[in-house]
Amino acid sequence: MRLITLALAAMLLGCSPDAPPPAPTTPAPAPAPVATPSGPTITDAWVRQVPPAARMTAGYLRVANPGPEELVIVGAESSVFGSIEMHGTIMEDGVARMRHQDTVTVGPGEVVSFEPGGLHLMLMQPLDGIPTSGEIAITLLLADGGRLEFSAPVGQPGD
Amino acid sequence: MSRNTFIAAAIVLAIAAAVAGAWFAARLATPELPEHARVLSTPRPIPHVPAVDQAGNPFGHAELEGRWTIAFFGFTYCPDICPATLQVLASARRLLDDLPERDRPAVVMISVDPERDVPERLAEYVPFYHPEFRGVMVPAEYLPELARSFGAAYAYSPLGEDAYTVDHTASLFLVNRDAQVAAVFPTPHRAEDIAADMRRIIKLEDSR
Repeated sequence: MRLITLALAAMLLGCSPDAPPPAPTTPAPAPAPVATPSGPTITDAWVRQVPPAARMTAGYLRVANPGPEELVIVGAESSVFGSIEMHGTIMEDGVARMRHQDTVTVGPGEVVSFEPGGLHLMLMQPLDGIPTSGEIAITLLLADGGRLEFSAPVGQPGD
Repeated sequence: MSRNTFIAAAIVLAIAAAVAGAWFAARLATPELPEHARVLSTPRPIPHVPAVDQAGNPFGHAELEGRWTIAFFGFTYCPDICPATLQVLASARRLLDDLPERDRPAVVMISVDPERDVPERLAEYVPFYHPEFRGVMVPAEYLPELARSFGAAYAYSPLGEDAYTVDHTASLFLVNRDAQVAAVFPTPHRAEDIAADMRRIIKLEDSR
């Protein structure tokens, strides 16, 4: 009997190698792949440590969109800053130009990186100075009204 | 047999020593060229323009002569490129801490935003990255001439609620001990590359 169960399990696993391994004891509901695609994820978030007197700093992150619809980011907010804009640094002939981005679109299955020398969140109007340590809670605002919350540690690249 | 082995070993050793000697001699004769910096065939003189550092002291040829200086154009309302440049330079500078003082490069950020980057503001900002780094303010009317002499460009663009941002050349400029622009480090910048090239350039210069 036990052998048959094992054989059945092996067959099932063999049929769907990409399926997540069953985890019946974990309370988290296993996502159903078709009906509700897994949501966007934010990783590698950090805020650049700048002198306490600085009036602004930059936030960086990676946004992954595993879903079938494109993800359109229209802004960001944080309780620590009065204003956050999305900017892109463009390097042309050795000249760095910073330009405002109204929206940033992450296509289905794509990952967009906000990274030094490229896209970044420009964090402005610090309400009580820019923190030089700890973590800053930031929320990305989506075109469909959704909100993506994340926490970004303050530091230098390589920290 | 043991004598033959001894002779063979002696011959091998002699050849190895000769090869190593020739290799070292060749290296000594031709110092390595920098790998990232572009060395100018004719160093460019820097014009005498009025300037002050973050302490309000005059900054000119007297401060440049006699030592190497890595200079770049930036501003303190710059959230992405300038802090990254300052941080890379701080790391590069720490990698060169073993050099004798006359070889350790000074680092200077020349503000392209003299309207907002008054000395007090530069003082709050630049030394945060390294206590010896200096911020320099050049009055707006002299900035074009100075930037031109480095081969740098800058332009003001409206941006967001802060009214304007400054597009600017992000390269680093190496100023030699005669206050001339001697080399340019194009972007992107890595601390290890800058430090290694500084050592090569100093060796090259000293071998002349």
